[in-house]
Amino acid sequence: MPGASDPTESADALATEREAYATLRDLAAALLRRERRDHTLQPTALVHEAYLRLGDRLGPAWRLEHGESAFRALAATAMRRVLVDHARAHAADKRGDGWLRVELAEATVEVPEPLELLALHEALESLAALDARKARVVELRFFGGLNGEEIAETMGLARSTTEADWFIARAWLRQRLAEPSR
Amino acid sequence: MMDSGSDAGERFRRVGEIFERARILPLSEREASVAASCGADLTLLAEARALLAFHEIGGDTLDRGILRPASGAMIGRYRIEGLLGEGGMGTVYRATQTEPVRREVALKLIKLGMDTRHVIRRFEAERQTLARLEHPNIARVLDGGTTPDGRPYFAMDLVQGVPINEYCDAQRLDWRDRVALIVQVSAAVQHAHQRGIVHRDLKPSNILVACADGVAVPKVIDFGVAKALDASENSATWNTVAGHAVGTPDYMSPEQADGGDVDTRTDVYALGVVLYQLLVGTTPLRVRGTSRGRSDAAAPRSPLTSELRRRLREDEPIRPSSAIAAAVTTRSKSDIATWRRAVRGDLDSIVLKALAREPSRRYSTVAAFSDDLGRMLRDEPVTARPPSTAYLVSKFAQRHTVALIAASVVVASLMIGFGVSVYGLGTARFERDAARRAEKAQARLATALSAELFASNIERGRQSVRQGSWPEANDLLWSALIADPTSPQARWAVREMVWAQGCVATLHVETDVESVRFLPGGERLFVCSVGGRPILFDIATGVSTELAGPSIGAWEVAVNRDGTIGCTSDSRGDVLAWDFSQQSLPRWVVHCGDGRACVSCSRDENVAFAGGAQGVLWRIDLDGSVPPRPISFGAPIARIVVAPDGTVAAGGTDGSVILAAPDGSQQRKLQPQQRGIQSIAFSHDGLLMATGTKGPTIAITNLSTGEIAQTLTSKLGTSRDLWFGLDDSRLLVLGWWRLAEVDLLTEAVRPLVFIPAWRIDVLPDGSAIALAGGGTRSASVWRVGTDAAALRDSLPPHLVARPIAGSADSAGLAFIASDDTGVLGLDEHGQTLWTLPSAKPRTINSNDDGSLFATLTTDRRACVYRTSDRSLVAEGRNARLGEAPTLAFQGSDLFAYVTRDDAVRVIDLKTGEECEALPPSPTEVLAVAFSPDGSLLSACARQFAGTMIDLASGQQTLEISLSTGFATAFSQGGDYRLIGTWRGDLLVRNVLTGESRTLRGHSARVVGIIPHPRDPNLMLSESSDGSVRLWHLGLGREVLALSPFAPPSALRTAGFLGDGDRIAMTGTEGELAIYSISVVDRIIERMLAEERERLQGNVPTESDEP
Repeated sequence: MPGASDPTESADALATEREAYATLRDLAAALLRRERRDHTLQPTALVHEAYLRLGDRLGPAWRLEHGESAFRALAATAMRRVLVDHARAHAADKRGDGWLRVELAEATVEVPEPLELLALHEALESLAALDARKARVVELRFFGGLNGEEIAETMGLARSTTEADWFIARAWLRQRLAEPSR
Repeated sequence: MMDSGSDAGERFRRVGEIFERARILPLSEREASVAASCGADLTLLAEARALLAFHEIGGDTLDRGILRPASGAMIGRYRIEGLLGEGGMGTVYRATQTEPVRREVALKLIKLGMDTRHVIRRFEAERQTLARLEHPNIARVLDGGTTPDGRPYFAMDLVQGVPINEYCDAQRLDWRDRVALIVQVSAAVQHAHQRGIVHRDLKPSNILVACADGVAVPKVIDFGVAKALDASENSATWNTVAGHAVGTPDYMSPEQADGGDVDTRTDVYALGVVLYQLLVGTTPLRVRGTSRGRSDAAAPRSPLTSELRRRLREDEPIRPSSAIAAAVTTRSKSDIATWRRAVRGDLDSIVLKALAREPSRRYSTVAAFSDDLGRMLRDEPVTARPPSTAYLVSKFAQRHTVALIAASVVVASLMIGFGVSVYGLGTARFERDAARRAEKAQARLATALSAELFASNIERGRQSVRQGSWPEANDLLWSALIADPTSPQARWAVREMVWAQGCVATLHVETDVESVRFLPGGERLFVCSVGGRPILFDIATGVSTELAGPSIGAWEVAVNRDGTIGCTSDSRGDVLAWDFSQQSLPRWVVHCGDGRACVSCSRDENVAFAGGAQGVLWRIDLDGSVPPRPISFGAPIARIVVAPDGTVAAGGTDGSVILAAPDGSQQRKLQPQQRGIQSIAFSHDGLLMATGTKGPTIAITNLSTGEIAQTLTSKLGTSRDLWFGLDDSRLLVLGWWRLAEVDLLTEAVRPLVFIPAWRIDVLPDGSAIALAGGGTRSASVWRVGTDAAALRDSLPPHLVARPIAGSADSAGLAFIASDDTGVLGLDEHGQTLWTLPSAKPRTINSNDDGSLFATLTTDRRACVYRTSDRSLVAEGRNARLGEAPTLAFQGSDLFAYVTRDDAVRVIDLKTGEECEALPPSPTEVLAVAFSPDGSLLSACARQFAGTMIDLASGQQTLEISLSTGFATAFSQGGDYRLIGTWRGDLLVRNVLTGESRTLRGHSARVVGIIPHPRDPNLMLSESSDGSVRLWHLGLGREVLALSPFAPPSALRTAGFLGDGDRIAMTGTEGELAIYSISVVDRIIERMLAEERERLQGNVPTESDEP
C-alpha cells in the first residue's frame, strides 16, 4: 500500500483523478450533446455536478485503495442523483415521448424521460427500505452499467447472490412500476 | 412505523426466497414449487406468483440500462454506423466490418442481464454449423463476441427488409401469394433443420421480406441466436429470461411456454402462427383472447402469466376461416367472402395441424408442413385433412379436371361413332387411337388415385390402431394388405395391429394348433396341434418345450387341478395323460370309441372326464389308483366342460347335454337342441349354461329350471368356444375369424381380437385369454383390457441384461443378468445356471451371439469374459462408469470401452493389443458401436450427436445435432449408421454415400438401437417414452410401434430373438413380452389365402371343425 507521502504519488494521483473524470464523462457525457432543443442540462454541468457529489472521496488515495469498480459504483450513484435532480426540476413541464437518445463518441446514454426516471428512483427508494442491498445492485447495473461480475466484486458478494438479487429486485420493480397508483 | 417496516422487509425476504427457489426451475415446475413453499398462506402465494410473472417480461427500461455504444464506436472488428431497431433481446445496429473484408452487417447487441459466458459458449458450439447455413432465404449469423462491458453481440448478414406481415399488407398480397411466401420461408427453415439448427424464435420480425428487382425475397434472420440466449437448458444458476420468453408470447409454442423440450416441431408451430397471422390478420392467441371478451391489447407485453400459459396449453385456436378479420382483406385484393372460402377446408386443416398443442400431433417436419401447403396450392389432397375417400376423389377430380373431361369426351365420341358409321376408315382409326389414349389416361389416373388411397388407408389404419378402433383398423389394413400383399408398409401395419390388440406371447408350431389350456397360475400354456407332440409353452420367456412321447397329434387338451398332468384326446378316440415333470412317457388312459374324443379336467379333484364316439362319459382318476369308470351313456360326445361347482356337462352330437355330479350321480339330460353341440360354458354363479351349436345360434339355459332362457344369434358363425365374463353379464364368443364379446342384455356384439382360432382358454381372473390359432399354426396369449397386472404378477421376475439367443453355451444359456450378487447366467426359464460372484458389475453387455460378455465394475475395470467358462479374456482399465452402451463388441474380435477422460479405447481380443481409437472428447461419451466388419466405430456424446471413426485411417466424420446422442448402432451389413438422440430423433447416415436423414417418431430419448440380425433394412429403437419402434431404412419410415407395458411398468430393454423373427421386450416390473413376426406372418398368409379363395368364388363362410 503506497504511503500518502510518496513523492511519486502526486503524479499518479493526478493521472488517477483524470481517469476518474474520464470515467464519469464516459458515463454521462452523452448528455452533453443532446439533440433535444429544450435541453437544459449542459454536459459539463452534469459531469461537474456528479464529480462534486463524489467530493473528496474521489481523491487518488481512495481510488487506489478501493479500486476501479468501487469508483464506478460511486459514479453510478452520482449519475443517479444528477439525473434524478434534473428530472425533478423538469418533471412538471416535461412530458416527453419516452427515451431520449444521445450520441457520444464512445457511448450513448439513454436518458429516460423525467417522469419515468423519477418513478424508477422512487421505486428504488422503496426497495432500499425493504432491502438496501438489492436496491444497490439495481443502481450499479442500471446507472453504472456494471456487469454481474463487477457488481459482485464491488459489493464483496458471491456472483450468484448479486444475480439472484438482481432478478428479485427487477421483478419487484417491474411490478411496482406497473402499478403507478400504489 | 419501524415495526411495520421490518415486517415488510421480512415479508419481502420471504417472498424473495420463494421466488429464487422457483426461478431456477424450468417454467413447468415453478408453480408447484411456489405452491409447496407458500403452503396455506394465500397472500404470500399471490405475491410470489406475481413476482415470477414479472420476471418473465423482458426488454424494459430496467433491462436496457442507460448506456449504449454510439455511432463510430467499435465493437470488436465492427464499427457502429447507426441504429436499425430495438427488440426484446437487445438493440440492432447497422455496422461495418473492418477486417478481414469490409462489409456491412447487422450487429445485434444483447441487453445486460444475459450470462455472457454461457451465451458465447453456446454460440461457439454451433458456430461452424451456423456458418454452413447457405440458403438464399437465410441471413446468416456470421460472428459472435463480447463487448468490453461483458455484453454478448452477434454479427449477421444485413437485410434491408420489412417484417413479412407488414410486407404482405403493404403489397396487398392475395392469400395465395402469402402462402407461397410461407412455403419459401419453410424451405429455409427446413434447410437449417437438416443441419441441426432449430430457430426457436420465428416471428414476423425475424422473417424480413426484401424486394430485389421486383421479386419478394423473404429472409429468416437470427438463426442460432435464440438457442445461444436460452440459458434454461444448461445453466441452472443464471436461468435468465430465455430468448423466446422475451416479449410477446404470441409465437411461443405450448412446450416453450412450459419450459419443455424444444425441437423442430417448435418451429413448425411458430410458422403455423405466422401463417395464421398472414391469413387472419392477427395471431391465434389474440383471437382466443378477443373471443373471450378480452381486450386485444392485453396479450402483448403482458407477462407470461400462468393464465397465458394455461391458454397456450389448453385453448384450441379458432379455425382461421372463422377468425378472418375484415382488416386483413382490406389490405389485400380479395373481398372477405372469397378470402374466407379460400381458407376454409385445407388451409384451416393445415394451419390447425401445425398449431396442435402436442408436438406429436403437429407436422413432424417443416418440410411436411410446406409439402402440404404445396399440395394445397396444387389442389392435391393434404395430409392434414382426415382423408375420406370422397375427399380424395374430389381432390383428384379438381386436379385432373382436364384429363377427366377429355376422357369423357372420347367416350362420348365413341358412342356417336357407333351410331354414325358412314365416317371413313381414317375417322374410325382416329377414334380407335383416341379410345386407346383415353383408356391409358384413365388407367394412369386410376393408378395414381389408388396409390394415394392405399397410402392414406394405411395411415388411417395405423391411427385407428392407436385409438383402439379395431373394426375400422381391421377393415382398412386388411384391405390394404389384400390389395398389395407385397407392400412392406401394409404388412408391418397388420403385424402392428395384431400385436396392438393385446397379444402378449405367441408360439408357432409345425401343424394346426387345435387346443390350448393354461396351467394353474397362468405362467404356462399346454398346447396341442393336429400333428406332433403336445407342447408346454412358457409365456414369460416365449420358450416352448415339446413333451416326450408319440408324435401323433391331439384334438383337445386338459390340465389337472395341480398343473402336474396334462391330458390329450385325439382323433382316434384315445386319451393320454402326460406327466409335465417329464419323469415318464405319457400313459394311455382310455379309448372312447373310433373318432374324435374330448377331455376336460376337474378343478377340485385330480380327475379328468373324457368321452367320444361310443357315447360313454368316463371318469378318470389321474393318480392312476383307480381305473377309469363310465359314469353316463348317451349319444356320441362332442364336448365336455366342468362347471365351477364340479358338475360335468357332456354335449352330444345329437344336440343333447347330459349334466352329472363328478361321481356320476344326479344325472339329468337337458332338452336336445336341433344341431350338434359345439361349445359349452357355465356362468360363474352356476345358474346359467350357454351352448353353441353348428350355426350362429347360442342357447342360454337356466339350470334351475332346465329351460332355455335366451337364444342369441351371434352373427359370428358357429361358436367354437364360449366363456362367461366375470360378472356373467357378457359372453365371450369365439366365432368365425374373431373373438367377440356379446352383451347378454342388449345382445350387442363387440369384437375383441381379429384372428382365426379353434379354442380359447381364459385365466380364472379373466386377465388373459389363450387362443388356439388353428390354421395359423400358432397359439397366442392375449391381454384382456388394459389390466394386465394379474398376468404380470404371475410371471417370474427377470434380471435381464439382454436376451441372448443361440448362445454358444451348451447348457442352453438364454440370458445373462446381473444383480448385486454378481453376474448370473440364466436358462430359458429364468433358472440360474451359473454365477460369477467375483464381478459385481455396474453394467453388463454381451456380444451378438452371447459367447462373450463384458462387465464394468466400480473399480473402473472393463472386463471381457468368455461365457462358456467365465474366463477373463481382456481387461480395460480406468474406464468410466457409464451405461451398457459404452461397452461394445465386434463379433468376438474387437471390444471397445470408454475411459474416464472420455476417450474410446479398442482392444483386439485375438492379440490383446489395445489402442486409443478416439482421443478424449470434451463431453461425456455415452455410447459406442462397431460396424459389422469392424472397420468403423461410431460414438455419440453429450451435447453433440456423435462421430464416426475409420479405424484404419483414423478419419472422423462428425454428426452435429442440437441434441445429445444417446445410442448408436450400424445396420446389419453396415450400410447405415444410426444415432438416437435425447430428443427422440434417429439420425441415419448412409455410410457409403454420406447422405443423412432424420427419422422422427419417439417423443423422448432413444436409449437403444438394435439392428435386425438378418434384414439390413430393419432397425429397432427403444426409447424412454416406453415405445419400441421398428424402422425400415429403405422406406425411410417407421413401420411398427409397440408400447407393450402399461404403467407403473416401463420398458427396460428390447431386442430381436433368434434370427430376428421375434421381438423381445423386458419391463421394469419383471415382465417379458415376446412378439413373434413369423407367427403373425402365418396369420397374414392364412388370411390372404382365404381371401384369394373367396375371390375365386369359393366362399368359405363357415368352416367345419377340423
